[in-house]
Amino acid sequence: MRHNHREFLEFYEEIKQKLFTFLNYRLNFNTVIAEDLMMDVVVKAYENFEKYNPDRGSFKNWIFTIANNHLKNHWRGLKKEMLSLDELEEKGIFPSVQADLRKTHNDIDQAKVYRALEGLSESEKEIIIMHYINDLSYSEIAEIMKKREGAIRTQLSRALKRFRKKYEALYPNEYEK
Amino acid sequence: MSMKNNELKHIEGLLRKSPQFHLSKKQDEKILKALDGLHVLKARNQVTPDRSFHPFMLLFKGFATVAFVVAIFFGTQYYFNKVPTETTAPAQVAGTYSEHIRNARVALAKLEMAITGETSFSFIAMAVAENEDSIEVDENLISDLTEEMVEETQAAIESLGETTETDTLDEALDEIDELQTDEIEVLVGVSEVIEGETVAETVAAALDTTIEQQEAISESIYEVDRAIEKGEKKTVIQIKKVNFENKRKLVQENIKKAVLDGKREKDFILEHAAEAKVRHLVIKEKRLQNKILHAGQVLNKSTEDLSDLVKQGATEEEISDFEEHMNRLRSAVEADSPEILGDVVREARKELEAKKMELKHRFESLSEEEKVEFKEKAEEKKEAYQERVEEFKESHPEVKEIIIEEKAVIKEEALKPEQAPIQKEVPIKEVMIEADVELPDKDEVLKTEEDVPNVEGELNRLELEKRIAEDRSVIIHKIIEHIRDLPPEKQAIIKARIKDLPLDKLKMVLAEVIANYRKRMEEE
Repeated sequence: MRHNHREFLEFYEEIKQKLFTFLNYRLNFNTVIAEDLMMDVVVKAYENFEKYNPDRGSFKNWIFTIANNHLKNHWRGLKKEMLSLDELEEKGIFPSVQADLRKTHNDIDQAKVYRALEGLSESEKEIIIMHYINDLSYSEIAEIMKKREGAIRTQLSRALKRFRKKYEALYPNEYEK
Repeated sequence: MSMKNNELKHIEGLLRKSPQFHLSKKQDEKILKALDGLHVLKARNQVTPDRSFHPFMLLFKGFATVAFVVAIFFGTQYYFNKVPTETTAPAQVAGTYSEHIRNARVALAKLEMAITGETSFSFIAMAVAENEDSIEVDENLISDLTEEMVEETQAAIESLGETTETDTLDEALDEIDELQTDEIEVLVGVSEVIEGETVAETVAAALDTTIEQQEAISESIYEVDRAIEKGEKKTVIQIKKVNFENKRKLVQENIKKAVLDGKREKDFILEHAAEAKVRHLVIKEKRLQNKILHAGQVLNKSTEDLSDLVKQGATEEEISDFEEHMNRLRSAVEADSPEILGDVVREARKELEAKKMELKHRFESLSEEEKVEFKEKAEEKKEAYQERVEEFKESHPEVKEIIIEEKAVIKEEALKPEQAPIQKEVPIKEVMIEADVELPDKDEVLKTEEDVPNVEGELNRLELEKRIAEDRSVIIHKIIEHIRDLPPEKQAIIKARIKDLPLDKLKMVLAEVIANYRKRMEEE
């Protein structure tokens, strides 16, 4: 039976930031829920740690798979209580774009990216966040989502195109000279 | 203006630069504490295993209790059946308990079916045997436990169902949507290609490089010529000159090849996109038919409901609300009428045929060698396309059947004789002859618009117009894209003239504009 407390803690230290970032983005920056789910996911992983087989993939992929499934169950159960960016701004959880205008150019761009992300479907958001924000490779995402690498590439390119369209629709004058 | 690759890269860059979030120290500590707690608990369990903490054990204990009660009930029932008595209370009690037990049994049976492997009945029986002695008869406890068991079991079954079938189904449905989006995207891709961006850019890049090379070579040749004039190392220089000439020929051939490849690429995409468009529309039409059939049934039902309402003496307001609801439903059905879509499908088919003919002519004009090469390349591309489809089907066996079903629909449609009524072909004037722009008069256009096959009928005009307006704006945009190289005044005339053209005319103008655009490009 595989159970090594120390080993798990080492793994946890390695992935905690990425995992939390992933959950936070997927939950539209609702940090309170993200923290709760982080706890659930880590505990679930710990309880099932003996089932983790390093020959079948990295710990990171394994725990991301758990997190992904947990998110699905969470939304199913709570009927997706997600706040829009506007609501988040109102609650002061996410800085408003107006406020961002006073910041650096990069921050403004970033806020725009968030807005465009918000307009995507969950599956599109999921894959974009995994690849660009969590820096997971195609093969890692394929492993987590139990799909072929080719399918992931196609899905990602499609998601990026949709993202581009959303971005363009939100900020039509952005690139017009 | 559409965003180009560098803009896309910019966005990719922004996404990559998105900030990472840090778990708060407090939450981190909480997690670590929880893990430590679990560690201690696990360690303790490993030393003195106490299965009563396990949720399944609780379930088994419950089952054991229930089993015990079953025995009592059967005994009681047996007793009351054998010894007739006027007292009914024990029978009622037994009835209530039997219900609980039946529920629990059903739930357990379901659970057993749902969870395969270890948690079989034999295992449960073992647990019952182990705990039998410790069971105390407490009616309330039994009742509570039974209910709890039923709830837990049902929750377990539901969660099992959710994490397996629903997920797969959801994914399957998502993928179907994506598959269709793919088809639409092919069309979008085509419009880009038609605009000459993709192919032209590739060819232009190849041309730029080769032209640079050519210029460099020409310069060298010039220097060589001058050297010859001066009589310097005449023979060596002459050899060099021949080499340069050869290189130049090679470069020219490369340019020709690049242009040809670009054209082939475009042909392939055009052909496939047109096919994809027809396929997509046919599927959409079939689905709409089903939707309308269903909506029709709902409408019939609603009519019955309405007459019931009247019979029941509903107020005028209630009836009018209901009628309004029905009208909305009817409008929705009519706005999506497959008849309209049918026209679009037929039109798309016509386009497809025209494109195929065009490709055929172009193919015939190739040399034998080029034909072979063309076929090979087309085969390669088809294989790649097929591979992608196969890959998708393999990774999603559950979707396969749906695809097969859709294919059957397509096949059925393809076998149908062309049902399209012969549309009145309104000859459109030569839209653009070189720089001379000649479009139909606005008045004439408006007149012919009335001659367009009547699609109004019972349709909701506003809905229809909204859809047409969307299509129109796309086509107008494309036309404008293809006249950008014309003098501004010509562009202005065209823009003014197309402003009020009906959709079918706009499409014809677009075809003309593209043809003329290509012609100009080729001549250049």
